[in-house]
Amino acid sequence: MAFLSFLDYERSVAKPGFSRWLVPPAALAVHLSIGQVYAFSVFKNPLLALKAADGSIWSLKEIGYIFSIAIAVLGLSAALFGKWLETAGPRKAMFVSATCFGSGFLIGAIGVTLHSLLLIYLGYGIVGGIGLGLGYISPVSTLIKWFPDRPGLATGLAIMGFGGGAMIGSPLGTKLMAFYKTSGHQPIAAAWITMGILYFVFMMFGVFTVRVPRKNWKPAGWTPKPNRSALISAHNVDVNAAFKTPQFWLLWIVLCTNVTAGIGILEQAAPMIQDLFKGSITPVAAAGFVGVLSLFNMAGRFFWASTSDFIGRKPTYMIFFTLGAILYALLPYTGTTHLNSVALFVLISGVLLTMYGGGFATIPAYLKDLFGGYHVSAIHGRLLTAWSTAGIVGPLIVNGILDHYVAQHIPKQEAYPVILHIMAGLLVVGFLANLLVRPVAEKYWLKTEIYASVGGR
Amino acid sequence: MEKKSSPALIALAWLVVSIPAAWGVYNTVLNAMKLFR
Repeated sequence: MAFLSFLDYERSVAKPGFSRWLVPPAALAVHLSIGQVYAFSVFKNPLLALKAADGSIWSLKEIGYIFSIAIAVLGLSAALFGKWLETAGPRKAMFVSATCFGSGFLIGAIGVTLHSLLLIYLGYGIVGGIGLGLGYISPVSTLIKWFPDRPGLATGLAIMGFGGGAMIGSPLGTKLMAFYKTSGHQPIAAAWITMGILYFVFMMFGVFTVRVPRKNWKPAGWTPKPNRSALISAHNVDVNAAFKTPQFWLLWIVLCTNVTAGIGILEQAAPMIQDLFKGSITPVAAAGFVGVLSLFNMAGRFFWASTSDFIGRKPTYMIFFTLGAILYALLPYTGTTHLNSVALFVLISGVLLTMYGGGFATIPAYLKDLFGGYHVSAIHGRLLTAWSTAGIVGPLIVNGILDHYVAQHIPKQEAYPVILHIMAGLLVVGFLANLLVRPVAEKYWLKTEIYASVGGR
Repeated sequence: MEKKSSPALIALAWLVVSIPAAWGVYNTVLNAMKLFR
């Protein structure tokens, strides 16, 4: 189809004079859109209340699968299509992402109208999930190539957008449903159709704006620093070779432990603050606490990723794992039975959430340092399986322990020290994995002639 | 001849993404304020 030729890699190569500062908004347009997935919970209660023609309704568990499928497909598609993205280029990948993410909403809307959960699983979960995975990784290597001097800042900006996406998606979904309810439409279906179209258009702004730098492009006046860290490689590693390195699996553990620990707070944020400060925190205030955490999570993505450009990736994660372990161990003692300080609890939780977000945002630059920019999006895609794993392990630990305490008729607040100390222990594992990260061995390096044969992309 | 990206175009691109992001942050801050009431 000739009209789609504008998506070709060659057509997206920047002309001389193109400003690299146009690329982060393109990446943000995609990440601010797909971050909506973390606001899916606003549709839970309306979906629960939705009745079929025969009066049947869906269970909370069945509705919960919609989000789980979307996140699982995110990880899978990022891992599977990452290598294709490296050859197709970011513009084509962003276009596929926008098409999948937008049409996922539309298929889901048909599912709502027909009261077919399978169609919602297929639409929002599978088709939309492919859009999520491709969209998440598509701008990474492009940003790294445009910002070789500040890769942490550039990828941190994009991944901060993913955190911000939930902040847009939540009020947007709520307000659209309220609007369509008063105008007599099926509120969820109409909201999803509107969101599908809006997000597609917004992501297309990214598709049209993104450019890849031409071969051998460098920022004006920039030369790589001669006193490079041994962990910043001048060589590239193919995604399949990277998958076989110990460094890949050490970073997999680093990401998995950091995310699992963060989920330990996020999963139970609202009930935890109410349990630890019984009687002094209302459900409304607890919802406010979740909002505070979202802000810290988003700010941490930008702050830590850009800080890592100055202090290095390994030291950045060392801070996450040492400071994080101490803070997780301290957190339960802020409750009513010890220090009784809500302010301290909120502050510590906030700092921990900055490191949770920072862990996501700093990992692409860490991968670039170790494996070069050649296949960094594809390698990042495969590493995201650590996120999917943490998404299962984290809630399992938290809910498993809480269920056990409830079953044994032990007060729930006594479970939190156990949960939070397990999270601190996980961070110690992450610390050790990070400590073991060494430069990638020469046998994994891509041969210079192979790199040159693909135009040094 | 090399044609540089216009600063107005760059500002506009940032505005396109900043407006919805700011709206999202504003709504979240409103929600977060409930903790301190």
